[in-house]
Amino acid sequence: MSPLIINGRTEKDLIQACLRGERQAQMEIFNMYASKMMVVCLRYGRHRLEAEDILQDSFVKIFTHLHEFEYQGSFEGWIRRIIINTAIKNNQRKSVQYEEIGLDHVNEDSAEPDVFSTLSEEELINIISTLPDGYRMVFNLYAIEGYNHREIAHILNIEESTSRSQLYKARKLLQEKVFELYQQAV
Amino acid sequence: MNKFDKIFKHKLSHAHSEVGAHNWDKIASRLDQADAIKPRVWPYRLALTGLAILLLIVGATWLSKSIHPNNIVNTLVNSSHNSPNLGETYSSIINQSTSSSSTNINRNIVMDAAPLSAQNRNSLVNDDIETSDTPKLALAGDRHLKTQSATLNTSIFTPTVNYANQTSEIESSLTSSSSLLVTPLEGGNIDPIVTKDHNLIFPLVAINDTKILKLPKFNYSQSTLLTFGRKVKSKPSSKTIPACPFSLDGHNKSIEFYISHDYIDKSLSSLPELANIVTIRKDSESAMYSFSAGFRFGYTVAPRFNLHLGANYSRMNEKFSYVDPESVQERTITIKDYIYENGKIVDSVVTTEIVKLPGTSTIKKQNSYTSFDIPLLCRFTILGNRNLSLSALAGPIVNVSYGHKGMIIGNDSQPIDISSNQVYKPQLGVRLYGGVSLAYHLAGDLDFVFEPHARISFEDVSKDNYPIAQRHQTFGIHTGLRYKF
Repeated sequence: MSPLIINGRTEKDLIQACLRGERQAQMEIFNMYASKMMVVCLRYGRHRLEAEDILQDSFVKIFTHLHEFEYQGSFEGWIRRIIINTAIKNNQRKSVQYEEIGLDHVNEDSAEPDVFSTLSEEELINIISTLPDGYRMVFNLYAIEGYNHREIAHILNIEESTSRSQLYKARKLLQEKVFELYQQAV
Repeated sequence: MNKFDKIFKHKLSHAHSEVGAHNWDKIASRLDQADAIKPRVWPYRLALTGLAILLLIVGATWLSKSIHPNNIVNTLVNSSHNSPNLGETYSSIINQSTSSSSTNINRNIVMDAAPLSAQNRNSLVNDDIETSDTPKLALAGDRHLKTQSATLNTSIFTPTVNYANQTSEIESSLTSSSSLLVTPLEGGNIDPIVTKDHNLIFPLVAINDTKILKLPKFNYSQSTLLTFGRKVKSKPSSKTIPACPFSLDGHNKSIEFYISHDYIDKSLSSLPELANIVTIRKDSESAMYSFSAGFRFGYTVAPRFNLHLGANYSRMNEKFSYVDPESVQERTITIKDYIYENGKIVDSVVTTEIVKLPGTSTIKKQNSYTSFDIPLLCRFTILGNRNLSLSALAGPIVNVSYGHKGMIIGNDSQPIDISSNQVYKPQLGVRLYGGVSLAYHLAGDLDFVFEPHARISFEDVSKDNYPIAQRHQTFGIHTGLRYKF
């Protein structure tokens, strides 16, 4: 648990106040994590409006299920998991088709990190947002959240091979976008 | 994870993005709505559950008290018609029971308000009874008993601390035409005795009541008091026990009107490829207040057994709320350009443009599932007395019709209307009803009925060819009035 103190109250105090239904405490929790979690939502959403919807749905769930938080692990981690789950559900509502492609079409070693490591955070998020829904989900879950393909297959209800192929395709598309931006900048 | 992934992770793990204030406003608004809905459901259910438990506890306590021998005696004493003084009453009974022999009884037996302690009783027995050759009747408290003990020429019984001997002696000494009804020692463990002609007898050692006692003849077949207790050794045949303790005076038919507050346990299941639709449906459909109401005719078919046939109307309500994430809204933009000449408006040009904006739309609807059923139930009276009875019910419920209206999410993730019979069956077949009924005698021929119950379905309410199976199990508490005739 973070020892962070906001307006004289620790995070645990704020959680307890939220459980009592204090709207002010809920707002303070929201303000504490919203900007950080918005980045997560932007990575999963197609555009900012959708990201805001995910953020709102997630925080409503967080406050209505706060009694389920058992103070095991960080509160931020718990919030992040709810955000990701909400984003996944939101994605499933759209009945995303996960296209399976042959891996022989993808050259994984073509990436040159130094080329795009200079890009800003906002530019990277924008690049991710341009990915097709299925690619974006798998890339986020694998590269950023750290899930393996078996877990992703279970979460998204797809085959492991589909998860792998989506990831490689996502990487290829991202590399192309990065090079485009790099060439424009040069 | 390769270098490419790591760069993204490293860059984005600590990133922040501004969040507009409108986001919190929307969240707060939704939380307000959620808070407004919550108290309607849970306190109501909690109150109902608490009430049910309370009534069951009170009923069980009341029933357990009513079977205690002391209570039975008190009930009989209070219901006696005449109240002559105790001495006369006892003497008359004893005279009846010993009429064939010459009985000499002291008619001045007086009841003492102070109950005997165990120690006093023992000393009393040792001092006054065991040391005496003449049998004495111990009816009252220690002071009077020591000076005014009754003396009988014939041996009715000898009070000793050995209760088993007492009871056997009483049984052997009484005639079949009358009985001596007395109370056992406080804290004693004496079972009542049933004589050959069904007279109930309790061995007498001490009475801790100042009331004038009349000890009437007690007979199972004539009594309005049922014997539902472990303490009675010899029960009469089950034919003498009526089906319902409230219908002893010839009532073998009844009609009952009730309303039930129901909780519906809804389950949805499908093949794995439609799991996401099931998830969306669970999110979009939430329970609202549900109820059922109806009436039943009852008929006593055998001792303790009643058959009930009636009609039942049930209504299950739920809220459908769905946010379409890919709703496209059309906005019409009207632009008016003015044409000026020398600073004056001489004309205007109006341009209209329709813009499509991606966004979300919310659909809200109240769904209702109504069913009309015919229950055929068998009720078995477990125990009861003149005020309360506890019964168990079970039997089939035959569904006559099943109606439904509202919206759900279809297999293509789009909301569909359920008024037609594309998703749900028009009839549900046979379900099973089971419950426990607690009846309280209000007045005359009227009882109040409180009945926790379950209606178990073995079939889905959705059609067999519909890929998402839906099944309802109903749990409820019904309250009603039963009139006997």
